[in-house]
Amino acid sequence: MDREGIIMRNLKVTARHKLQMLLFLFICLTGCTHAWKLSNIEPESYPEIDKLNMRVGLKLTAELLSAEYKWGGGVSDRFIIPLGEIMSMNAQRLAHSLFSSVTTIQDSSASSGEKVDVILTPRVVSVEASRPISGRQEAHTTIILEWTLKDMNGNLIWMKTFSERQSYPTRGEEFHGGNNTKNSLQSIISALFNNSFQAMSTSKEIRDYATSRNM
Amino acid sequence: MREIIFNKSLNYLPVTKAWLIIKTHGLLYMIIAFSILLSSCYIAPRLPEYNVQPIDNYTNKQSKNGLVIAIRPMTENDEYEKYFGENLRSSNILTVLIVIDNQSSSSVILSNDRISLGHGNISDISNADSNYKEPFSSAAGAIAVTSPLLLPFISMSAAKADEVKHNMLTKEFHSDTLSPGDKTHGFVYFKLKDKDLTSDKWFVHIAALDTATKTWTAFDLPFEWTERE
Repeated sequence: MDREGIIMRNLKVTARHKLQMLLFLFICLTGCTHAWKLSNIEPESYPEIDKLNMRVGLKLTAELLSAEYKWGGGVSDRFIIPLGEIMSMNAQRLAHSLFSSVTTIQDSSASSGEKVDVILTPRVVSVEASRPISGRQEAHTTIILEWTLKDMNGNLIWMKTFSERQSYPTRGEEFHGGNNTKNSLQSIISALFNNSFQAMSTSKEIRDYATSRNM
Repeated sequence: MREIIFNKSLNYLPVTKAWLIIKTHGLLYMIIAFSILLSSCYIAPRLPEYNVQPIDNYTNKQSKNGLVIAIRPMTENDEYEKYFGENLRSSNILTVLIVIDNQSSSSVILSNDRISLGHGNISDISNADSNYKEPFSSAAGAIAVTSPLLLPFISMSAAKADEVKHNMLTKEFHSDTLSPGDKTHGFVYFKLKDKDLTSDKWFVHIAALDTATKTWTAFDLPFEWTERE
């Protein structure tokens, strides 16, 4: 084989290797998506109190119902844990524990026709998933939940934001169902709703409004 | 033409050789090398909490009907490094500490969407009267508060960006109802555009709702700051 032939053969080999490299990179850069579920979505239980005499419309927005904890993607696998169901169940349990009458209102559903005095809206402001690349470090999770209570004219009666965060080890948990992450999320959500219940049940502003409505 | 092909092929030969070595030793080395490339050696430092002073210690404050609000814009790069682990100014983010003390006899509501940043003289902003109806945040030129999670930190690794956002979230100001005697504080973040940086006169606009009278009270706290190169 002459020199030109060797060169041309090398060029063909190089082209084939480039194709293999691109294929390898494509495989490396594409991750799978894993949807995990929380093992326990039973809502919190609250102590019995004298319920506030108000007809509350609990507004469950599409944003709340689609809340999720997610991380990864791009070059690595993507993990998603839906939070909408546990959030909405907890919001309903909390509202029923606090107020004498609760009507659930969803964005997608038409008005039920029930008369309400106020609209209570929970909003997931942010779900932060800070995951370390190295297993030596801890993951941080922060969920910020905001509540607004408005009268039927849209005037704010009460508003409060609750923030809960936890740090926990994640070494190898992708291979074991993400138990640390799930436990941490459940613990955060539990704390968020307990703090919300505590704040709403002792709120001077909500009690004053309920009293003024019933005078 | 032949000469060009010849020179090109010589350049490819070492690549071919390297590929043959990798092939000989299996894909393991390649995967390890690729993992190292993708990983960052960034280790998150433990950052100190910001030491918030009693409201009387702040010079830039206003008091209306017993509600006292103070601000402290963070303009020093060193402070950003110390408390957020990154100079947020390089990402065009201006951070302002807000300290609130409700010394009135009414409850007030402070909402993040009623906090904004303006530039220029307050007197030029017609919306900034004390009994305005429309939120100033929607006024032309007003810069709304930004959530840390929405900020793109493209100049740093994903791990570092996560850590910076985490620190910003933990120090963030949250919407709140303050009963008489209640206090609160936190940082708000404003994402500035290049055209905003020409200004040297700024003000933070905060509207507080009195829950008893259902009236909004506006606070406009001015400060001077020029972006330094």
